[in-house]
Amino acid sequence: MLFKVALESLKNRRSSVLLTIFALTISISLLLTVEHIRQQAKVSFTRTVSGVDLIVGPRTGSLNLLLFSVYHKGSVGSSMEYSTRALLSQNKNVEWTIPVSLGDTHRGFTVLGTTNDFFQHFKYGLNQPLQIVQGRAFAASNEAVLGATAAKKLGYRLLDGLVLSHGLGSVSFKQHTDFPFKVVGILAATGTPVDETVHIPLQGLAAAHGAKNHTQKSSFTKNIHADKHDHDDEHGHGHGEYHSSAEHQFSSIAPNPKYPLSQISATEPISAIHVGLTNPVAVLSLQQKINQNQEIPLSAILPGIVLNELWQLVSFIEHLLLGIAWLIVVSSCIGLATMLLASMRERTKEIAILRTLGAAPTRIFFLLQIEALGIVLTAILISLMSVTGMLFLLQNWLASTLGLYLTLNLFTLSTSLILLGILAVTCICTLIPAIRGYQDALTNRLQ
Amino acid sequence: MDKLAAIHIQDCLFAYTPESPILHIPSFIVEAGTTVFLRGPSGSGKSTLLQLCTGMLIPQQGQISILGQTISTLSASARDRFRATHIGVVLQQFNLIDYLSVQDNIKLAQHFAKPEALDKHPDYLDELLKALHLSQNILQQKANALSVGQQQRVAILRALINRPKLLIVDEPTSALDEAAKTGFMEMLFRLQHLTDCTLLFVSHDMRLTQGFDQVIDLADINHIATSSMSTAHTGITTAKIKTAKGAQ
Repeated sequence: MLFKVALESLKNRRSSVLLTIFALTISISLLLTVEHIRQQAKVSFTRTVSGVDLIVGPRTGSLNLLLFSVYHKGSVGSSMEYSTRALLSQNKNVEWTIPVSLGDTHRGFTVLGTTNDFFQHFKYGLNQPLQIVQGRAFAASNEAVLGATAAKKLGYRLLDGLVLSHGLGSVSFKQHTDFPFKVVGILAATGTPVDETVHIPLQGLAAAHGAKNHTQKSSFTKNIHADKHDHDDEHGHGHGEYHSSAEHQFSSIAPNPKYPLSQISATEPISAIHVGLTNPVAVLSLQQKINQNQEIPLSAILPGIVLNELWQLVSFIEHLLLGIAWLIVVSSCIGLATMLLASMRERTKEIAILRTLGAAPTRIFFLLQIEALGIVLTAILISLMSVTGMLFLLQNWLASTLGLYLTLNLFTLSTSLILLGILAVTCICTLIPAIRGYQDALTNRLQ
Repeated sequence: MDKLAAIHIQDCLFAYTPESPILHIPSFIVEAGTTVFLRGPSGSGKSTLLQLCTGMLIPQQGQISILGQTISTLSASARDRFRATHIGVVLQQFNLIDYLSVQDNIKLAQHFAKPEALDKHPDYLDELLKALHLSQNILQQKANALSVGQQQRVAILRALINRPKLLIVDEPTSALDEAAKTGFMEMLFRLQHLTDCTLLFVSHDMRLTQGFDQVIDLADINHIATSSMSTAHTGITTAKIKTAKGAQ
């Protein structure tokens, strides 16, 4: 019955109630969004690398090494010789190694030079291996395997051709046109930077760079011409010429014998090596050994630990955002209390009637609390729906521009705790009008 | 206690502020089943007396027994429950909650009463509606859509819905025209007879005394002479604050 009275009373004060719900919805949505993105960013951040015990690179800061070798962000800096890989493999605790070489791009997507060990050993999320959903891994040095997003965004299919650009950034005047690549495989989506990467064999990267040196020697006009040619090529894709020929050969993607996966020269520069150990207990001693190596200046990091360090840095901003969002929610709740308090004047009559009918002052107190909770619960429901809707609409944009992979499910433990927190804040803020109602009820006089 | 008395007040002293007592009633008895007309102009402490009788206020001194129950010694929540269950109250105005339907206003009265005291007889509501010349479909209407006369009749219906043994009616006719007043009084007496309750009718309008078993002037039972209206009013205003503090 008290619920019915509360509901009818709210309906009776429609306009101010709706405005209050609106204000609360905005603030609760904001809080939910901040919290959701915070959680998801953390998850999407920490799931990028898994099963890699050690990352070894040229001597540099541990954050920098992690950022460029896993997230393909920041400066690559110096490089190390390929022979370092063999040196590491000699250690009896090392099970596998993945060499990675960065620095080139293809139409804005990172190009990662590596070996087939990458597809075999690299893991993400909860130890999930990479999956080639179309085609196969490298068999010749002029072949490329695309991440899911890269393939989708570039509109590439198997056997499409591509050329690399030197350096980072989507616009580059230096194109390695003399050594074009052919798409032979496309990876399943992982929700990690792998999706946005073009993978090519180290041998291919070396060949392209060799070709680049060759191009640089030739005239500037040739460079311009090459760029134009490349552009025309892409234009051709759009009209489907390439696709029809590609589809004919879908069943058998034969490697081109002209470009064998030859031995990689020991001096070929690489950016980092991902290391997997047979015995994870040995990780610290191996790290120490590498870091203290006098002959070759190397850095070795434990990705999990550096990830945490990195998150610590970000968490300041994360907490700041969350704090601001909470303040906005609290101020909306105070607005709600103000609205209820303002309504108390016109409600003295109503309270007098309830008292005459035998309602204890505590009932009046609860009536006001129920009204406030009803308003907040409505706002929470609308917020949940609108945030889910917003995430649904922005999901793709966030993934492609910010690399944030969000789920639509808002119901996590911490979101539930936040919602409970909002209800608690409501109850506390409503104490003021509720106590006022209680006192009105106590001093009520028959007219 | 005298079981026969619906209201039994003994040596009752009440003051909002210790300096200016409002009521001092050595003895006031309303026999069960009778109809009593209590005359008192506004400012005479009449409202205070009604609040004492319904247990919304308690006296500083003396005893108040309603239907054999000494309510001045009950706990606050027990007094509220007692009022909801055993006393029907109709005021001069503001009896119904505007935004609720007539039905919900009636249900509200049942909600606060003891569940075992609720009238389970299905025809009782119909009986009351008929006696008050109200149609069934008025139940679905919002209280603020009714005329003043209808509102007062619904207020009577609601006051009687829990079959109270005591019905307290305070200036119920002041907002009604002459013809409606007569009709209203007739209905009130018929219902009093039907439900066999004690009726305490408070008014300053001596033309309405007809038909009552007893006519009592508040000035005769209250030993504190009412001073001028203005001082009485200031007394009440300051008193309000005092009680608020005292009640906590």
